[in-house]
Amino acid sequence: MSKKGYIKRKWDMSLLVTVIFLVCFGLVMVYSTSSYEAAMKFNDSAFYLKKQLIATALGVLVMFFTATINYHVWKRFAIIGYLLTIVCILLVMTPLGIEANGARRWIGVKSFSFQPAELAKLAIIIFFAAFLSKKPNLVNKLGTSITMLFYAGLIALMILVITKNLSSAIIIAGIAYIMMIVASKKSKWYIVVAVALCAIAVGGLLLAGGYRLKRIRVWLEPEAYAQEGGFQTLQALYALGSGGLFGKGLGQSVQKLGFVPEAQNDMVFSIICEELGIFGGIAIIILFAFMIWRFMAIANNAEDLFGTLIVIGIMAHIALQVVLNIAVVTNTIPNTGITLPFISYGGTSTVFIMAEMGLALSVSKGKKIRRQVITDEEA
Amino acid sequence: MSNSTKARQKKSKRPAVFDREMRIKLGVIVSFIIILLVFLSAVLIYRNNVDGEEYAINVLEQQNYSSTTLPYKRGDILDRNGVVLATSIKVYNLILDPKIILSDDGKYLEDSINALVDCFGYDRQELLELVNENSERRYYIYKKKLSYEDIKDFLDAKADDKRYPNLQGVWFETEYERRYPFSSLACDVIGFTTTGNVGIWGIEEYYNDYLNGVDGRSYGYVNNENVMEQVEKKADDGDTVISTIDFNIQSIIEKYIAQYNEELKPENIGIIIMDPRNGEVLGMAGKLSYDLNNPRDLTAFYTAEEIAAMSDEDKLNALNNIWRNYCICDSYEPGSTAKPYTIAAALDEGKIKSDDEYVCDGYEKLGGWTIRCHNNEGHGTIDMYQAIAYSCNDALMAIAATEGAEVFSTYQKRFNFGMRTRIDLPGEASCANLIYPASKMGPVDLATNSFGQNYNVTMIQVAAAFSSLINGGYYYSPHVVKQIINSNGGVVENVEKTLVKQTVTTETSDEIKKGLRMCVETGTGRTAGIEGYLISGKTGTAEKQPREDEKYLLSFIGFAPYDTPQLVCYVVVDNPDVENQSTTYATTLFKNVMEEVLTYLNIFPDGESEPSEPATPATPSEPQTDENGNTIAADPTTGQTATTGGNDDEVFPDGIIRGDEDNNTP
Repeated sequence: MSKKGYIKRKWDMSLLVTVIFLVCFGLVMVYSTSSYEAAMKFNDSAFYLKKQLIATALGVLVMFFTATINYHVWKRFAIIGYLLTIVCILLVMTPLGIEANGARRWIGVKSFSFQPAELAKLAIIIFFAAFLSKKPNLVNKLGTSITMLFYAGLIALMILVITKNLSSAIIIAGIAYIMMIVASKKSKWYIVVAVALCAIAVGGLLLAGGYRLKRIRVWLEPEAYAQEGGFQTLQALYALGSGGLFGKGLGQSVQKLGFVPEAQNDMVFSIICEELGIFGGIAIIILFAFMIWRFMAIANNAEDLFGTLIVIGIMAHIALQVVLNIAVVTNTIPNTGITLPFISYGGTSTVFIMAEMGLALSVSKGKKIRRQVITDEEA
Repeated sequence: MSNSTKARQKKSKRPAVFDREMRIKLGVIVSFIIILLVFLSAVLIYRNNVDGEEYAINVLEQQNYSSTTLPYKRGDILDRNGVVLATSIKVYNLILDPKIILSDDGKYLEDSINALVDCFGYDRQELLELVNENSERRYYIYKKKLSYEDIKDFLDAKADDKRYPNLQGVWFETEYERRYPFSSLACDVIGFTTTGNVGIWGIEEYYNDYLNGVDGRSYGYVNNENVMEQVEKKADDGDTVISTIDFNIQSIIEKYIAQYNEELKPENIGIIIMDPRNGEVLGMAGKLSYDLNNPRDLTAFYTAEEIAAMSDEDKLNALNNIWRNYCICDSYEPGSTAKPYTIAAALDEGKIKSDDEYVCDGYEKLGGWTIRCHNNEGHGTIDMYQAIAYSCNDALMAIAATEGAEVFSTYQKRFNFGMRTRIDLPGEASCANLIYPASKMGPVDLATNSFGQNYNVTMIQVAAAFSSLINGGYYYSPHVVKQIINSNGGVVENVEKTLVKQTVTTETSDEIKKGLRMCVETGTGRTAGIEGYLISGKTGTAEKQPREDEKYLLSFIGFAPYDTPQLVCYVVVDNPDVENQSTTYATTLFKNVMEEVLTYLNIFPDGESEPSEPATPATPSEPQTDENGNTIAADPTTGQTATTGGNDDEVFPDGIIRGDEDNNTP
């Protein structure tokens, strides 16, 4: 790749601005939703805000780091990253694992903790992008496809079984699936397989019963199953539905005062709708849609297939989380516990999402545009 | 794999490319995501439109149940000696939870209803019907504003497990109710509150933020085991505001206002008593007083038929008229009480000397107008002290002409006439637009302004300016609050005296005091005198607009004791319904009020040696005889004009401004 063919490029500024806006808005909402509970539990209304601020500051640093260096570097770390993820997930079972809110999902020591599931998402994106761009034609063979799906499935399964984190497992599988479907020439088969898998899953759920089935029941009739776990969903719905067109005003939510448990996490979107109304909720949705459109533009103009696939993976990650989160909050699908990117409280996910944004910016910087020749002539 | 992709490949050596097919797939996926987001937006709108109202109600209903507001207590308002003028009393609302009462197959029903019937004497049948009708409700306010005594029995019964072991679903919500122990006392100063502790008028409004606290909350949340836990955050009670108002002085003021109102039926009466040493208002009242516990009750002012005929807007206007504080909200022409300021300005600027003499021939011709003194015969040759004492318009016009519009206007500003005094009460009027700026003040304007006509002031402006005139020239901003303390008794704020400016020099102040003393001793204000005290002050009889109606605003402003004034009292009687409108109404009202206030405050009489009083030694006594001679000469024809009458100045549309010739005590 000769340097001569490319002019020095700038980052995709509209993506950067959107990211910065969402991060700032997220901080405001984390404070708004958590201050009351934080004041009650820790006697410090900014308790969650402070932690989130630290994570955000770190995230911004990481973003500018990954945005500045050439993303091709990460190709070398694809396999290492994949293996590291497996090690981290296994570490959860050791004494290094940390249990919180009834789930063992973190590893770490003392005040530093970290969720391997978030690393897994990034690792899968880089691993798949590296693999698919190296041997694009192999993907069309059945054997390779199955091997690839096995790699993704292994991580997803480990996340599901070891950390009992269904939502992250779904997202990892979803990212891999979307990347494969774009790269493969046999995408029809992927759709057939996906539909078949969904049918099996639904059938299995109906047969298996138990915990998962209860979730479905709660989903269908949250009012009737309030005591069994519908409480959170129901309260989020109350919050979302009571906002009206322009909401009760920033900071004026009633539902965050102990009704929507941990409103700063999964259910933050319901409080946004309560405080800023349908208007605020849709404005956020539009921002995410704009972001996804930017990812598509970056992917389309990327320098090479590796860059394109990275951005597609990132896009899949953000899109899946946004769609699933809002679907849960509006009770369109059963509750799975997915956070809203950039806005929900959560240190690990903030840092890794910011790292991904840095990657996307790095790709946008190296992107080739067809007008380059003209530009050269003009120069 | 299309040909076009291959063609494009030749330029690059890349092993893998993002070809057209992939682009299309990416486009399809992105479109799919966008469609999903649009769908979710639609769900969002649907949830709001279809279930929104129900959800909003649920939010409110459960807020009352599992998360209870613990109301704060709004701070008290006390008088300067700690008498409670406004306070908040805890009351209890009885809440029923029919769902709980009927739960577990009606296990709790009998005991719960029995307890209510036995302790409160409520009707059993009614309660049963109500509980059954609202079986799904969790929050039903059955009775409001019960006192602690009312619910004590029930609380004992609830605490005793043996009497009603299955008593459930009945609880109390606390609330505070604002009470004013003296109903209408100092209503203009205190103000009242509406629902939600919003202060309206008076201290209640101005110090609303201090008086209000922060609600606490007891809230339940579901922990990991799905168990409701209760956490309580206590309420922060509001601060207590200690007023400068003295309960006794205020009572004296209101007693005499009521009495004079009954006798004279004036348009309005206002009295302000201030401490000139620091600007503290000790008492303040207007004619209309209303019950603070029931501020919207019009029955005391209108008949039932009148009220029935009123529209909502009429009612609101009527109420606003009743609620407004005459002493700070209404402006009027001050009349002759303004004379001392005109003289003080000239003296302070060295334009006149205290021994200058003026000849009053009963009128002055200015620019086609004839402006008359109230004594048509003229006061003869007088000095500035006598000009104050006998309220001579002619001398004042001469003095004002000497000082000129520029000086006059500067001192009007310095005495803060027309402008808000920034007293700590809401609704203070500004009448700055009714004051002539020096550039627009013609000779006639200056002449009429010199004796207090053709510009407007409010009572508090006059009282505050007068305080500075007689205390050595120190203008303290008037205020009605002394101190703010928090609910634990700690001092939040001390309202110290604030010296705003020096209006005149101490020497000027001393000279003016001499004239004011003479006014009560021998001049127009003699009826204001109180035996034993060196009462000093100035009368005022302002002619109201339109001039031809011959309606007057009678006033008197005075102070005591003479050497170190501790009290300034300003009395205004606006257009009394009597034959002969004379300042005597104002002076006697002043005298009655001050007599009681001086006794109450134990202010020792300073006037025992009245003849050898240090205030008016040589200077005034000499012209006094001189003046007396003139007055005596005038008296046989016009009666006691100079000594008893006020000075009234009328401006007629035909261009003659004249004094009121006949202004005797009725």
